[in-house]
Amino acid sequence: MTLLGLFLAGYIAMILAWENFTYHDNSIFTLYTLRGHDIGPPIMPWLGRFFPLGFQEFNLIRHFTDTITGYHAFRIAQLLIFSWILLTLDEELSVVARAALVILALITPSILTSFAWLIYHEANVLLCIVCLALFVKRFEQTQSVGWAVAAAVCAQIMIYYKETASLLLLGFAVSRLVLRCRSTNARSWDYSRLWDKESRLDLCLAFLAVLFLLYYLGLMLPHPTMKYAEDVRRPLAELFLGYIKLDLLALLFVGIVLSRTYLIVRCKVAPSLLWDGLAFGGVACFVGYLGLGFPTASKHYVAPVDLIALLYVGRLASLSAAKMHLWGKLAALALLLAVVVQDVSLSAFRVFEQKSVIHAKGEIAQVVQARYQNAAGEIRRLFFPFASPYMIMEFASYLDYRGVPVEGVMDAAGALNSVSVVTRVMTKDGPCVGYRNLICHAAATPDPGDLVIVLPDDNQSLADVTSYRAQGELLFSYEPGIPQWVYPFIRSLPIVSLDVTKMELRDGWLHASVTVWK
Amino acid sequence: MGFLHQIRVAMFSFWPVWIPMTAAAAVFVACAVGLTATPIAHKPLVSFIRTGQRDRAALSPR
Repeated sequence: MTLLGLFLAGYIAMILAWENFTYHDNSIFTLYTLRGHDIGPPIMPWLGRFFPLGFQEFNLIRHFTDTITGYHAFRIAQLLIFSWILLTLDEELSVVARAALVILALITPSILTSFAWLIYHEANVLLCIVCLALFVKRFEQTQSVGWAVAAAVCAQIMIYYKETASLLLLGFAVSRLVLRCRSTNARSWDYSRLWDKESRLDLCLAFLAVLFLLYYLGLMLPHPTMKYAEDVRRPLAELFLGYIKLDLLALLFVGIVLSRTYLIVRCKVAPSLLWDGLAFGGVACFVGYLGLGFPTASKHYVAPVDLIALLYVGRLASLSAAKMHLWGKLAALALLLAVVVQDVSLSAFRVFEQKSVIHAKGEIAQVVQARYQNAAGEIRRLFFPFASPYMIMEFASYLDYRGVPVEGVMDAAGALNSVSVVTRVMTKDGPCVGYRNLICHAAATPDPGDLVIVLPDDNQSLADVTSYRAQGELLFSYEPGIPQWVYPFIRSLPIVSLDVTKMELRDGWLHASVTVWK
Repeated sequence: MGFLHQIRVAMFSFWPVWIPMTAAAAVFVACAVGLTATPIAHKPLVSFIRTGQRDRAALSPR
């Protein structure tokens, strides 16, 4: 327990270290909540998205704090409740086994990113899953109406945070009904059990999931689309390959659920309604993501699947460890080692990348802000030679929030003394991204006096980065805290090329600079 | 068409739909698992069964 306490303290310190509002999608804070505006419920039928509770917690948080630590405090509270519930949920396991499962869960990349990055709704879904499991379990133990109502409200919150959570809930509730009605001994069906108290709760949970799907269809039906998934759809074989390289645990979980289903159908093992129900829910969610076809392996999307996978597989392994043969134990140990190595390497890489990017962008913003204030508004243009329009928009939103007015961030006309954003990657002037007003001006080269900004996630060759530094007055430069000789090793890891940057890491990765062009 | 359109507009205004829906779900669940869980017939009958019969009844499979 002491080890777990130390681990959690370190984990929280890691979440808070170097934080600011510069990371991906943080413009939702710098443009809305930090300026005193609410974020509307995300209902986007034109993209096929409907997760209306998304970001809504920040509409409340903004009334109490405008600091990054304050924003993270909410996630940290969720993290602690999540860990506490995991520690108390499964009384069949030893305390050591439960503490080990908590640590393993928190180093799983998808779960780590859900808690450490503010914008992901999966942290809410993860908390709802463990709460739902706890409430259902307490209801089965006490038959108290309060626990049943709490479970239903929890489920209702969960499904409106993420569309695929409805599949999880439906799989959970329906599989529990099926398992309950199937008599283990006689291989027959006992439909009278549908009216048990527990079954009535499951029927209600299934009904909530169906109601959500009807709501979703009602919004999407006139022009059904899954545009957000269609744009990045990949063949099924590639998705499986991605899971083998990045998320072995999820595949292992599906294999174990399938084999256990066979044993349950053949009446060779007695089902556990709570854990097998959760497992079927997890598989339903996993199949949903495979159906959507976009690569989700080890990303935050699959955090609910990874959590259930870890709890389910870990529980089975822990309970059956004493009965296993030597070869079985060795095989289980090898698989555990593979999962842990995969999780630790990918999580370490992600944290390192995220913290470096946040740190570097925070420093760049400070330099630009100081230069803007000292030059009494004489800075007219910020030139981004490599950054994508999306990254430019995110960074410009942060600059504007920090007091450097950027043309088009808050209004199309631009405030007095506002700076404009210029990029080499666009061929003509226009909005940087379709959903924001920020204007990106197109130019092949910077003008004298421009601030040339290389962002840490531009991922360019060192030669290209250096060429821009050499032609002006260097105000600031940032280099990652790892030596160059480690880069080939990082590049050789499958985690990098497939998931993080969608292209090979170049030797200028995480290098950043601000230069005054001459 | 106009009526369907109005329904869709109402669906977009999320909170006025979701909060009553959640409250209704909570009440519905409470009724489903609570109010109907103790049929009136069960409790009064116990007092009419003699002690020995009650013990045997408790042992009989349900």
